[in-house]
Amino acid sequence: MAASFRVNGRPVRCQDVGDAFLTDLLRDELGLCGTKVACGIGVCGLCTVLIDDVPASACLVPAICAEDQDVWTIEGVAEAVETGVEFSERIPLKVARQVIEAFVSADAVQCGICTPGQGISAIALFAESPFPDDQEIRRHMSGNLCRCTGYQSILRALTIVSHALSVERDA
Amino acid sequence: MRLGSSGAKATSGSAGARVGGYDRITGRSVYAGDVRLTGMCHAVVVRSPHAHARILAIDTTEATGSSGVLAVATGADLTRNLFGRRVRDIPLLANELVRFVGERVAAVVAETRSEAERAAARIRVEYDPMDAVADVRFALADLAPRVHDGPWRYVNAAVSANDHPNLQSKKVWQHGHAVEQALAAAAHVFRSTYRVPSRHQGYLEPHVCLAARGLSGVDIWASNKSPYLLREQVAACLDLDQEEIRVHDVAIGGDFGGKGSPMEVPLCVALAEMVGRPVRMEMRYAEDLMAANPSHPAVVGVALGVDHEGRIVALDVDALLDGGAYAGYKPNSEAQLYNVRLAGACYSIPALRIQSKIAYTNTVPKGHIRAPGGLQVNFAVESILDEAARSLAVDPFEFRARNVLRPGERGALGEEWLEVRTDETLRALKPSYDESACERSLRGPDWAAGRGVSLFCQQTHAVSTEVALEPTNSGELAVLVPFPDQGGGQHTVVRNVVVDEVGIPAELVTVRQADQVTLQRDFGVGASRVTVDASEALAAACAGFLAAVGDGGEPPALEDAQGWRAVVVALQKNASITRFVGRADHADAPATVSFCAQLARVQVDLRTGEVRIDEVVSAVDVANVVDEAAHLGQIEGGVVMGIGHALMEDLSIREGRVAAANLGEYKLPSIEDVPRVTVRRIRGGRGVGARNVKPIGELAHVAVVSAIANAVADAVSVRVRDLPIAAEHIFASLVSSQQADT
Amino acid sequence: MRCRWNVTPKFVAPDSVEHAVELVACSDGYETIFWGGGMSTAIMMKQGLLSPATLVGLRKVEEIKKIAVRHDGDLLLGGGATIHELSVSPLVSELAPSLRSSAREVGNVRVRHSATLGGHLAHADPSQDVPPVLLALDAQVALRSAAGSRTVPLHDFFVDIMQTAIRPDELVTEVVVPAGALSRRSAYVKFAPRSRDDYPTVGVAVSVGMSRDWRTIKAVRIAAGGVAPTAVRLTAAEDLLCKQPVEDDRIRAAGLVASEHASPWDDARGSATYKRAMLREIVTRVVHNLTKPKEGACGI
Repeated sequence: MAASFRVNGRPVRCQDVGDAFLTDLLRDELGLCGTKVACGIGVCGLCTVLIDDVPASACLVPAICAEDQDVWTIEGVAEAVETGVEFSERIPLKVARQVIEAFVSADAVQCGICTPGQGISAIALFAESPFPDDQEIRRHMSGNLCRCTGYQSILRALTIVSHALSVERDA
Repeated sequence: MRLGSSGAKATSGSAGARVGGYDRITGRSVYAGDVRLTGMCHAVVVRSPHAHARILAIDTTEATGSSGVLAVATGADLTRNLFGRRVRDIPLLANELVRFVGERVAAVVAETRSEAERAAARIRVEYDPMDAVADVRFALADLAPRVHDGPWRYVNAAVSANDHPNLQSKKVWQHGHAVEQALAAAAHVFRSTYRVPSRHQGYLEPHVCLAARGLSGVDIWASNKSPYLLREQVAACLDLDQEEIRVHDVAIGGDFGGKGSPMEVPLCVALAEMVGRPVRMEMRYAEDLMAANPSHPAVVGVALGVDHEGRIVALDVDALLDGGAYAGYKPNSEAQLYNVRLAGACYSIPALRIQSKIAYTNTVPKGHIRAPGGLQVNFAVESILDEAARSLAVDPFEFRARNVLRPGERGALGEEWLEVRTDETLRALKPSYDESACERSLRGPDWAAGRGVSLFCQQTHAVSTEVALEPTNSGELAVLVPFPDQGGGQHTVVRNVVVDEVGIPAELVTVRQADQVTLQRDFGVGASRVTVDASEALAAACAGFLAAVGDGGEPPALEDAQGWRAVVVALQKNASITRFVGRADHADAPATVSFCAQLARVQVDLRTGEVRIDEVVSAVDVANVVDEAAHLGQIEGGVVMGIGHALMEDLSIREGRVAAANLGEYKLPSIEDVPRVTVRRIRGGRGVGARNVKPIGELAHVAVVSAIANAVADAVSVRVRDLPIAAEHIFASLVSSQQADT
Repeated sequence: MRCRWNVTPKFVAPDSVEHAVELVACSDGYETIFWGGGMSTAIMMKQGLLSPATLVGLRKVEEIKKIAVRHDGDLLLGGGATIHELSVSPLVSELAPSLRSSAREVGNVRVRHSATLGGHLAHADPSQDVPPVLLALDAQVALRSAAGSRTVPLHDFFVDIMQTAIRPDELVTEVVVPAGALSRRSAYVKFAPRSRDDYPTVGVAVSVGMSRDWRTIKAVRIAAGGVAPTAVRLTAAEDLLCKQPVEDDRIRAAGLVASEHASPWDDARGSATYKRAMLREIVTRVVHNLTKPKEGACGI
């Protein structure tokens, strides 16, 4: 059974994916290890990717079910930001850029294992809701666990993004 | 090691973004689980469903015949030495006996993980269950089932044949007057018993390793923070020459004390030898929760003697800790937990005794967690202090302030601390504490507000280390260090020190973990020692570098990166030495301790017992801060970890089995659970070494737990003595005290 | 890539209900199954509890995604609509705000974007957030298979822990909330003291229809999650209140009766005793608040 879909803008056709989940496919077949694996039950958020512009737990998506879908991982998003190429109709590149920059400037990373998932979730948040209040930010990010930061620096990063988007809107 | 004083340089506190930060954010950092080798195959483990049983037979025929299977191994196939960080009592695979639910019984190596799992499910193990001891309170009773037969025979065992057969270790620390007499003579004595459950460290990267054996030796990639020690442990277990083993540098996805154990690495290396191909092993998170090395649960009895003026006259701490089925995941030479001795360290205690017994039980083997042993005794001591204060109608803050260790005083166990800043640290909380007095709950008439304080301290451990600076031919300065960065920001600290010492722009400095041949043996990350050791060694290396490039040892007067590049390139081409080595040695390190005071403001719902934390204010005693952001991150992360320990974390080991075996059951705080965290760093402390530094990694989380428990007591007069603090428990206490009133 | 089971699964994504049910009809038992968000199914697959040969994806079946109001005022929620769509739908927000509240509580953002209403109900975990609200709103579940259609009242739909009346070849096409239920005032309260990112200890949904003068409860539904093998209506408590005057004592008595008719169990979120006590407390609280004449149905 073959599966054909797009990963980071490039068509992917995987022969004999069998029962592999998307995390296996990304990490083992495509060499995209930025998407991490921890809980395996969709709770921790480390495996968060964008599927058709929406955050999803790659560990719970059988690769065959991604048929015809657009999958974006952190590597693809980072590359898009670095090369200045829009990657989605619903998610503006500037949102992705601001999220990545904010994580750097707010030092919202320690061991880094949760960070790609945090970034993808944050990008999805601001694409859907550019000016979320503190409560909305927390509610959206609630499924992305972090043990190192205590979320304080992550909240600072997301406040920076929210502020930057407001400033742009008002300008 | 030089004392931190006028000779020490102040640091700028930041030299730029976190080293490796961008790569982590963009998913480019390579963790052990991301490494792929040609010909790599996968191993999974079959685990015991019994807490204690004899293995009668293992039938592997079906498994061996399964598709994709390369090898199946049992304890009989892999008779190697027992391994451990200090006490060597852990087998690669169980031999004849299983001692805890989750113990490794057999391993299957196959082309893919799926095939290995399918084959593993076909292995039939016949067990003869035996009586198990799952409750540490019975482990040292006369007729308790024996977990081991003659544990004194293990290499580095901390017990003798005269000890109870289920004892892993015991220790008594005493200072001052005889504690029993002091208690007998005290005006007031308060006694209580507190319980702390087993906690998982909560690192989000489960244990994973990849091992390859070839003609050139053994290559290991592992989620382990002590590469040299791992090498030693593997060599000792498999009778290999350390020199043949290379532990490669990888990013590590969190540690918190749990990534120091060799875990499945020795087995992985043995399997790689068996199949002649690289073998990868990754614990599923459920396996990690159930069978890695969580913290020691404890039952801690404490007696506090107080005189008529509210001064402590005696403190007697009796801690019984559950070490689980094996002692081998503890690194301490006495198989004890090094923070237990600091139980009374924040206070002036004329008669102090701390007893610590660690017992074997038929449960998952316990290991280190951030500040090992710290929470177990701090929860007890800070709770009894609070109970005493309330009982004597003394404000708990004042009670502590009256009794804190003062500058110039020897420590509770007679230590000559370099500096004592307990009072300043505690007092930094006073304004917030006073502000939250008599606070009416903003949530409404059914909520009660409360505030609680607590103190903790952590000793700086300086060991030794060696680092090197290598100029590169592109004009950069590569800093080689022997330790990884497990998220604590160690490599960022290293970069900042070099930038400050040398004056070179940050963008020209790279930091990497060297192999184990280039630099001398290093202890690895942990015990709050990296910043101290590394800063000292770096200062020495930088001095050597400056001597070669500068003007009589002073940094060259260069404006920009280009100028520096030219200098470095020239040095790299011309100098007879290609590397500047610096060493740090702990021989004369002064005894240094850092203090942390925590204030928690909570609200309790009187109708349900639910606890909401409104704010945590942390006061932290610091000296020079090498990287402000990384340092703050350690404090904030610690506070939230403490909230987790206080309110929700419990592996729920029942009848020997970990019940909270997935991340839906073992709750880590989520972003919606965290309150406002306010951090006050009390600067100006005396640290250690050329950079005048003190550690931070293990300082912030412990006292938060008792601060919250104390705040709950303040709010609703319910004293929680068993962690975690559950709404149900508070509710039950409220109901029963209401019923008592009617 | 090699399989962990005997069969390599196939994935097909039909674009009509007719085609979808036909595909499932041609199989035995659980060999061919419907795939909405698939999260609960994926977990069961990983645990080795299910090993389907064919997954029939519902992603392209537009007709079951609609959220609309019918001419008679009933609210129609497509079985293929996601929990996220329910939580942001202006119609749901306006007509059934308690349903919006409960949808916002489900799992995490990834779960909400993936889980379909039909799949959520078919999963039937007794602690879920949405079922109690739909019970309190008298929802009906429309099921379709190749053999035909039928409608099952939601309170008959849940049979036992993770077991419903759905047959293996049936698809939830729609959930209907009758206009009468929408005219009542309702609320959902999730009590999760351990962590905000958790299933509740108890989840309580109440809807009330009041007399004009707010003195009498004309209609009442009380439903709860986390206190029985399925989400349940607490009819004995309802009977105490229905067509009765609003009185504190009566409301408290209803709370007590609700707790006596629940059958909770001990787990990490609370002992059975505690869950009963909390059910009593929260039912009392919610009924009390809903029967007061003030703006807004939520805000407990």
